[in-house]
Amino acid sequence: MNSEGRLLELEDLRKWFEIRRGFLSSKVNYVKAVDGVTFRLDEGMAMSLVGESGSGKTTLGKTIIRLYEPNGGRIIFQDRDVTHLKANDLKWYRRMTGLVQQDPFGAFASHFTIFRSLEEPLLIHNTVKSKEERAEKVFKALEEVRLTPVEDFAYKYPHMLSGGQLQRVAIARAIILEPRLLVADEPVSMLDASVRIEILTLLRRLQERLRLGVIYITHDLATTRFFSEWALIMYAGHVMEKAFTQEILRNPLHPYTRALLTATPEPNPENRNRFKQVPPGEPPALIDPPKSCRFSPRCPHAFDKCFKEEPPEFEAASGHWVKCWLYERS
Amino acid sequence: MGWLKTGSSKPSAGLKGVLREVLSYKSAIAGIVILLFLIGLSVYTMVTIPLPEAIQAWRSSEAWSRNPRNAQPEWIELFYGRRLPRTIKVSLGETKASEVLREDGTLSVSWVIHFNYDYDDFPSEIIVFFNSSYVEKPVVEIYWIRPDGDEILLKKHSLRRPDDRLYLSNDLGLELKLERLFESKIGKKPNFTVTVEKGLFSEYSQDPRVLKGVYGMRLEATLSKNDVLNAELVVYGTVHGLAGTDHLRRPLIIGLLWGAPIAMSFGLTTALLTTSLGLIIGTISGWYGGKIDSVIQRIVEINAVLPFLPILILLTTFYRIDLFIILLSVVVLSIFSLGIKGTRILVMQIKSYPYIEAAQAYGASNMRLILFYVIPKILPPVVPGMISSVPGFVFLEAGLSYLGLGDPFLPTWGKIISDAQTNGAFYKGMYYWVLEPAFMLILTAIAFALIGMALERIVNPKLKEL
Amino acid sequence: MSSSKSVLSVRDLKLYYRTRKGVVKALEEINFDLEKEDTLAVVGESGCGKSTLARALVRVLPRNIHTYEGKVILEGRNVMELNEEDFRREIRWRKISIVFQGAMNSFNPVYKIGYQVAEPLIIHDHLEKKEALKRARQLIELMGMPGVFADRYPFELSGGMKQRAAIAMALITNPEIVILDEPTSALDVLTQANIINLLKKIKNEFKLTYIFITHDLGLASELANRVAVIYAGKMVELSSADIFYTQPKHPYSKGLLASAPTLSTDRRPEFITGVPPSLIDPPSGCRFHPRCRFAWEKCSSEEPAMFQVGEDHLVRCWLYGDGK
Ligand SMILES: Nc1ncnc2c1ncn2[C@@H]1O[C@H](COP(=O)(O)OP(=O)(O)O)[C@@H](O)[C@H]1O
Ligand SMILES: Nc1ncnc2c1ncn2[C@@H]1O[C@H](COP(=O)(O)OP(=O)(O)O)[C@@H](O)[C@H]1O
Ligand code: SF4
Ligand code: SF4
Ligand SMILES: [Mg+2]
Ligand SMILES: [Mg+2]
Repeated sequence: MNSEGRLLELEDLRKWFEIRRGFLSSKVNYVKAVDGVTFRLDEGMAMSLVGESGSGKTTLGKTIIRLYEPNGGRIIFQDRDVTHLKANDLKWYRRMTGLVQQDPFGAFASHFTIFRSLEEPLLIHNTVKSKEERAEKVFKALEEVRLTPVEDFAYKYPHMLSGGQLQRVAIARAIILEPRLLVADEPVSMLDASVRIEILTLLRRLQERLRLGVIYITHDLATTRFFSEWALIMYAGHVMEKAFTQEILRNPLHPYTRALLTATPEPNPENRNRFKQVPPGEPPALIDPPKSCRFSPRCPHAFDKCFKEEPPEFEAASGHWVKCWLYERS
Repeated sequence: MGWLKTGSSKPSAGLKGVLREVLSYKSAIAGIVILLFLIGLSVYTMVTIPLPEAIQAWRSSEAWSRNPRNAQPEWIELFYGRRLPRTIKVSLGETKASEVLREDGTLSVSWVIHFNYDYDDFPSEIIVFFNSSYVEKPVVEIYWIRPDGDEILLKKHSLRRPDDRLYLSNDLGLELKLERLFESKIGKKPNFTVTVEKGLFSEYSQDPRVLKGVYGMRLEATLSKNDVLNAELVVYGTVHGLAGTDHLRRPLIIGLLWGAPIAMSFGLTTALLTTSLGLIIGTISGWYGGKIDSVIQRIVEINAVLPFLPILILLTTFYRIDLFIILLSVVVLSIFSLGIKGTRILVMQIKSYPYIEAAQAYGASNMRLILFYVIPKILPPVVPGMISSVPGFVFLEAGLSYLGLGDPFLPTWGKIISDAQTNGAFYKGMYYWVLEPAFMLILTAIAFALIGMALERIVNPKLKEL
Repeated sequence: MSSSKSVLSVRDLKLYYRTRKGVVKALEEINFDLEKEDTLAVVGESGCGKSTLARALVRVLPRNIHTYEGKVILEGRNVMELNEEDFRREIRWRKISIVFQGAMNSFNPVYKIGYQVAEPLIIHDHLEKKEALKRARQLIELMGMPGVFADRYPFELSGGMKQRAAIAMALITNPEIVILDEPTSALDVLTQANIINLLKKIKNEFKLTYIFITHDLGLASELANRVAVIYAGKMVELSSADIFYTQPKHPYSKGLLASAPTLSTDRRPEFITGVPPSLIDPPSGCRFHPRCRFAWEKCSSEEPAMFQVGEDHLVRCWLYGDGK
């Protein structure tokens, strides 16, 4: 089918949003939300996409599943260029990809029962013809996400379920068409700390069993560890660092990644006695980001070059890429 | 906008749930009871008086010749505390005639008819209807027999045509005769104008006083052998039926009854059409945005400054007016209402909800999104608005009829009010003529308003606390 | 207990809401003492009653209150006995102030930030507007924001900046106790860390006592020296942070700690199965029994009290109670 189980490849992907200043003005500005992203994801692998809000994670995720059309670069899915698919081909691509959103409470039409919500994708793609088969699929999907007994949940309305339960339904909906790639956009950030692990574990099991490619978007580095093979750190529309998750956590190279690691809270009573060493300030506006390293205004290690030129991605160790002048090989 | 919140807000769990909640409002129950009454009335009317018959009857003046003119409803007695005269009809056919054969072969025939008059007021009019066939115009002598035994020759009348009518009330000669009779009986001029009705039914007294008892009328005529003569005496009352009559003797009850289905179907249809078309246009505008949106918004803005009523009046003067044309014009002029702006904004909001995005991600088409994902969400606040807009359209139709721009053939409440107005109903104290249709209009309006308000509170919980 | 030294003692605080479906028993049997410069972390899943506790303490309550009783002893005086007018004049914002959950999104969009920060001064201290604005600007600068932000409107500020302004607003009247209801939950980790640093700094500077509400145990450890765990409207564990984070006792507390992912250890996070119960009709006996791994018959029939398991360590669980 495809070479070496390769599922998804992004080549210098860009998504810029047009902003028109004023009513009549023809001057157009761009929000460079995703500005040159390159990576590869193999079948059955999960990649964490980590960064602060506004760094372009959601935009990247939506561009990958083609809710947005890219302004530049290419998306290759199963060796097929899907960058600018239209009509029926796009519909095929929609079936091959799934989305789990951040807000479980907003992710469902409140006038649909859970059953109907899950049945919709099947109706749209007409993959199974008979009503009985559809019901069977819906129930099976509910079982997959452990909402059992399924009859207890199928005929409820979304408001009758808790956030965690709804997020399971969202996962069930995302896999019901048997996609190959799943984008999970901060699937647990709105849930209680105590249910987050449960949902992530569920997602991980499904991924392994169905050999799904998963892009797990999060701002919480601590959860990437047991739930993804790869991690990719984003800042202001750029990929700052990418490597195996374990590698990044053990050996963070980019100053931004290090800051994120330091800032992540951990339960430890000693914490109250010390201040966290984190860079102050906030991410830049993406309409007019720094021309050089986008982290330079906040970076504690910045030197002259950082304010002049944008660093390329350096392979600091095998399979470990960093976009930072500190790792330029002299 | 509490109801718009996805998930957390409680969706209307089916029709049953809504109904149960509606019934928790007393005002809504009242509204429903009134509405059911009006619907029952409409069904009853449509079954018992089919529309073509109703239209026919409403237009012909002949059908109602035995009804009093401008009679009040019978129940008005309750306010007067007197028995008001009903209409009394007595026909010769019911009595035996005494015949005398003359030498010349003609018959001298004489009839006496009797009726009891027991009301506290004078009748409004007296007419004798003839129905005859003859070779030579017969001459009829008519005598009035009072309960006190007096017999008065009313008239010697030569029939002008077989179905001649003798309008006794309008007979000035008779009036003078009766006045003289009164003068001679009481020895001076009475204090009142001795009209024919008073002259025939009053005691011989200074002031008019109804003489109760059994009255009689004797007719004497000379007929040829094969001639047939029949006559009917109609003593018109001052009250008639449940609703009274108008200036054309038509019983208002027919107009009032038929007004209900007409008003309700007009109001509901226009409300339904304008609301649903407006909803669709607003949804398209908000969903697609861009050029379509701009065009629709401009039309709405132009429409907002166009004078609605004058255009409607203009239209109805150019075209043959019937209810259907009026309905269409009202709908066309109302769909691009400002309500579209509200719908558009709601749709734009909903469009940005995660669940829409989720549906796009699994491949839902625009059509599907609009039909199954957006419209069901904006329907809840629209339905009560639609119900509440019904009275407006009912009043609009009535208003147009009132202005003489309504359907000329249909009996509607507006038409009745218009007739009342042109005939100076209020000026002449015939309040019932205006108040009855007005009452029906208000009843209809209240029914829809009460239901609409309750629904509004259910879908918009913020209002619940008020 | 140690109410002589404490600035705040809460005794048997209870708050029920009235709803269409029934009475929500949102908070029951809440007892704790706070000493000066303590930080009490109140942790628990959402819906367990944390915000209710915050609101009950400052008496900012919705209209549908069914029951509101107990003692709140502030500097030796039961403020529950004060009428609304006295409470407003002497306690709320003067002694105890609050950063409400989602406060950064509650700014009035049409007033400048500086004015909104100064508002409590104008209302509670009847300070002249000019003076109040000056104080507000000083405080805004102390929060690590440029002073000019005082002249900006809420929409011109980022989430982190608005949250700093919300904290400034709680501090402007020099209260002794500040309640922080999930003050960083919508913010990014870097911003969150910066704000936690700020909270530590001003606590030292103003000698503040905090009640810090969060569902994140990791975050709680950044500030707390005492921890109270609430489950389904009741406190289930109360101890010093040092003991709590090293030897939690209640099965629920253990579950919460086990579910917090860590970067510094290789421990795989675990989770508590099930969902929190309805507070309209809570489970009999121990409210945690339907989800508890250790539950036995007694747990579903009898309600455990708060048992003392060590100095300054209370647990509401039969495992530590009578005869066990
Ligand atoms: N539809 C859009 N139009 C214009 N700007 C957008 C749009 N969506 C996102 N952005 C901007 O793009 C940037 C990245 O946003 P997003 O992808 O949502 O980041 P993240 O998911 O990492 O928080 C932000 O500055 C945001 O304001
Ligand atoms: N005004 C209110 N009316 C009725 N129930 C409420 C109200 N506010 C909160 N509740 C309920 O009280 C419980 C506790 O809520 P809350 O204190 O906000 O929890 P937390 O802050 O821990 O998430 C929840 O079950 C919630 O649904
Ligand atoms: S390139 Fe320079 S400014 Fe950018 S992260 Fe590296 S050291 Fe910091
Ligand atoms: S009392 Fe029983 S059910 Fe409750 S926490 Fe303790 S062991 Fe578990
Ligand atoms: Mg995002
Ligand atoms: Mg809360």
